[in-house]
Amino acid sequence: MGMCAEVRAEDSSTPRHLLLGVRAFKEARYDEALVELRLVARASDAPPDLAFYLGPTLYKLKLYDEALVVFVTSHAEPDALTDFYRGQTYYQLRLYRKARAVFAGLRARGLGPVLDEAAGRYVDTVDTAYRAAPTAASLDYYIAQGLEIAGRDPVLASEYLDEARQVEALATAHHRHLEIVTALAAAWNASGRAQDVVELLAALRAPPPEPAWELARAYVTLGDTVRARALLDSIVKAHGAHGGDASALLEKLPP
Amino acid sequence: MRRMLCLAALLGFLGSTAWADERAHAEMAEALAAQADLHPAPLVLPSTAAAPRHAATASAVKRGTGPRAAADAARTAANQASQRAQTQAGSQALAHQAQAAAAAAAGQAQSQAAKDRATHPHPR
Repeated sequence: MGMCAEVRAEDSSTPRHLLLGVRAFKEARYDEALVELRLVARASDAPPDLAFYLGPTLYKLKLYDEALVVFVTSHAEPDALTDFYRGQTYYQLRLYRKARAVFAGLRARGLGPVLDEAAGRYVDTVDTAYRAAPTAASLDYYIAQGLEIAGRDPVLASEYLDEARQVEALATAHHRHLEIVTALAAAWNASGRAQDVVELLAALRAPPPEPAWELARAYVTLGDTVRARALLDSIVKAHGAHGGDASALLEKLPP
Repeated sequence: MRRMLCLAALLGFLGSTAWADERAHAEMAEALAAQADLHPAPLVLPSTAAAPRHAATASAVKRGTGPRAAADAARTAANQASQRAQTQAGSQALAHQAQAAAAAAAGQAQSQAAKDRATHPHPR
């Protein structure tokens, strides 16, 4: 009987808030939708695809930073509409290469005719802007943004730094390349993306101490102590940046 | 008998929850498709070369609020200007100018911070 009472007490309040949030969104009362969806987000039985509801609501309220973090940290199955709003959010944040990748990916996977045309317009707009090689000042913007927020929001910082990496790949000459990949690796390490760090840096031969340190940290996170130890040893022997950190981390590694 | 009733209630609850979730999902999907921004705003690539933020950053630094605070203040001011621009005139160009100004202030503040670090080195 106790269990029945418990079931009745909960009385599906999370679905009710979710539905209220959706109804508010439909009527463009986005601030009210956000209140309801925040209640849903705090519930233990929040739906796994919460980003589908919360991300677009934050987007409509022009809370683009927060919307992007909701989108990129979601573990829900990919969904075309969620991704469309993720692309729009990238675009509003002027992360145009990231936006382009999302819209192009959506078109490749298949969209309805209206959204497909719209996605095509986004892709074309970005392509037009990048018909000329990007300038150093444009790259500096993304790097500055990423470095500025890296300490307080590594997830968001990594989006700016990844944009910088992609923009730099379009430049006619390298510009702050090592700084970009090192900062990106640090942001990814700080946001639990060690595997991405390895894919980013593992190709570097004899990396300088800064990226070597980030790569070593990623290997430690992934449990690859052999590679981590080799890198940490080289950092210690170089007597440069992170020498003390590397020694301390070496001592913590299992034999 | 009590257990059977309880089980039935639980199954009914789970069923109604799933139904409510499906309804919410379907309604949201319809709203998202209807309210998507189908036409991208004109695109201006960002740059740290915009001018207006020099004054904001310099004055904030002069006041002793530090480069970080200067960048934050500039960013806030620029964001407000950007929002005003978007709201009042719907002008993407003005919004982009303001955002570019924010970027310039961040770059300058970062540069100032680097100079400060170089001038006052401290052990890691």
